[in-house]
Amino acid sequence: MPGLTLTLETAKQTLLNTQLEIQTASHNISNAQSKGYARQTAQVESSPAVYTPAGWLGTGATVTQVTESRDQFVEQRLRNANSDASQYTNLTTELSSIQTAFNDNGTTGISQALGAFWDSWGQLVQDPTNLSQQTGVYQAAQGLATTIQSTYQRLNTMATNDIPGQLQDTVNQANTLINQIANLNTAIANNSSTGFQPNDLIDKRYQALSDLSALIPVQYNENASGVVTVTTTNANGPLTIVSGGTATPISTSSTITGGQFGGLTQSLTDLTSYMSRLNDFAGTLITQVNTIHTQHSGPVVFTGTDASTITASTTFLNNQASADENTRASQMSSLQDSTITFTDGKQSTFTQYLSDIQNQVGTDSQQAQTDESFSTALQTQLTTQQQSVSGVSIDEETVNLIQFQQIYQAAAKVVDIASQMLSAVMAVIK
Amino acid sequence: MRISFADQKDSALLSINQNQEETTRLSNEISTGSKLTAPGDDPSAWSQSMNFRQGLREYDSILNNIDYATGWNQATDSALNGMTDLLSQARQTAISAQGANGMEDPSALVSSLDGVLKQMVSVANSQYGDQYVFSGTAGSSTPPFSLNDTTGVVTYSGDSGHIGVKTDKGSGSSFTVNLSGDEAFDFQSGGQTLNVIQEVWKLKNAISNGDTTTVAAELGTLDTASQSIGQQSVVTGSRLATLQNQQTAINVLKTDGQTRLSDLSDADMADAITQLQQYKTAYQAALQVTATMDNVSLLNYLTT
Repeated sequence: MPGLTLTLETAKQTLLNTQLEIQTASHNISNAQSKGYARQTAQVESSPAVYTPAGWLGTGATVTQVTESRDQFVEQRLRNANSDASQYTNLTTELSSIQTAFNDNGTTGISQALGAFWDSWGQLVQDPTNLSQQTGVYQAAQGLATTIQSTYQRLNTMATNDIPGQLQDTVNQANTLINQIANLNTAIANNSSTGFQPNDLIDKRYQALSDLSALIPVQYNENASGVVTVTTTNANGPLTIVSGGTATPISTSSTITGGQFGGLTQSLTDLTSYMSRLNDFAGTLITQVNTIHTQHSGPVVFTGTDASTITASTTFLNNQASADENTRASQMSSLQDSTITFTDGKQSTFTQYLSDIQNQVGTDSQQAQTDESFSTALQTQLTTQQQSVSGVSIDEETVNLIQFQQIYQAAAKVVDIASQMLSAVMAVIK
Repeated sequence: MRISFADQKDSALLSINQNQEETTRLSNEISTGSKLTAPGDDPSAWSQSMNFRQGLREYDSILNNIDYATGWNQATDSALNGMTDLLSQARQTAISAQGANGMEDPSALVSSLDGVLKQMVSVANSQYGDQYVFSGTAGSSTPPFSLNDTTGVVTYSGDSGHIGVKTDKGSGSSFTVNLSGDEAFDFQSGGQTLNVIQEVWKLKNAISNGDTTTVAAELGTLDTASQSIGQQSVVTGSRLATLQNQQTAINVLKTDGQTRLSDLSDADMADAITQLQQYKTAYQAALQVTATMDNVSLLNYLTT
């Protein structure tokens, strides 16, 4: 029989509901600064009505579920944007280090040493038997060889040490996250069986997916029980890395084509091609210079075969008091303007070949920068969209709190009035 | 659209960072005076400017060669002039020896010719820097010409080679700088190759022996010698003129190269400073907005 007791009961339920809602708002405010967090809402529904002679009578409301706000479509696009942004940011950073390692603007690095080398032959032509000019040529040749070697060495250190090291770190981090996602899948599956969404575990998994998407490209599907299957993309197409509670780790030899992993492997490919061109340059230089200088029984100028082994020959220094030196030095001086066919088939002068390498490095770097700024802008835009759905607005939570507070106060007033009415009834009985 | 607390902070930070990045880039451009700091800034301008820089270096090297060749040819020219003067002194002496009174005091004439011979050898051994001008490419450290005063034999220890230097851009042939000793001081007369110094010695010998017939013959030979040296002088003169032209041409090319390099790589100061001003204003605005927005919250307007 409904009456004042039911009113008290309904008011009590309202007091409990608003406490839950205030707790949810408080939880939201606590997590306001966390981007992996999705705003939670306590879902309030009307309680079932009771039948009275006056008809169906409402019995208040109950909190049925605390849900979180996520837009799966935006989330997936944001993961993709994360992968792209991270890929190009890493590529840009590596290429920028490579540019610095070359350190060649035409008057520095290899170009400078090459220029000094040609100039020294120009000086030697004027006075071929002068010992100081001969020493000058030897020193310029040595300077050139050293500069080529050290430039190559800097690049080689990046190719064999720095970038593979970073790649290993990336793989380790990715594997940790892959395991974490598999574990969270298991935990979520267990908790979902209670009928309630384990929001905070889901948040953790989203955060892990988001972190993983910066390292490798990530696609995921969520099944009815809340478990996600995660795939990445490699050269052979999609590759499943998490299926339920099973994690499949990746390795540095994977052919994954995006994210930080993809950025690093691409920079490694680019770097290898620059190094091979530097080898072609050094190899062709050694051959051309030695061909000219061994005419009329002259000694070789360089020994070695490529950028890592080029060395100025010491026999050159001690063995050139010959009338043929003028002819050789003059031809050498003209070599700088000759169009040479390099071992990679390119035809240009030595200077142009060097500037062409720099052009290649620059073009790759510029492309990476353009891609980076585009993908970062997209990432920013999608983050704003994602935050618009899932993020916490302090103002909104504050307005909600005021609302909950007023409902709480109103319910308390109902308790007060019902209690006074009951007291009146009690007084009549007495 | 809801703006979340976390996103509000991040977007404020993003615009502040972007503005800061641009102002740093522009102030770097202004302070270094160069708009290219890495190949990635503008790959084609970067590689072109590399080629121009190397081109400019080569022009400097060529100008150095032209200076060298000019100096050498000037030294050659004055040596040839000196030789011509000495030859005419020798001719004067020969004419005096043929005076109407027969040969008067040959010893004075002989000692005058001894002086001429000494100077001739010295002129033939002229140096430019520490190189002998008339030694071909032999580049020896000893003088190329020597005269045996007893036999009259002139020994040339140089060779007939030519020093070639690069006086033009391009891989073409080199510019011949020198006259070898035999080119300069040997000459053809009556189907024979004769040496200027040796002929003067023969004159001296004839005067010393009172051999008037030979003195008369030598007078003719010395005329031919003088003409031969005159021809070599013309060669040197035309080389000097060519060098002058090439120097002018290279200087024009160098100036052009510098202008184009500057166009490619130098910062446009007016543009950079204007842009910097714009970014600075935007930067200040971003900071201002962030500072203002930080204080805006509903909580500030609620009283408990």
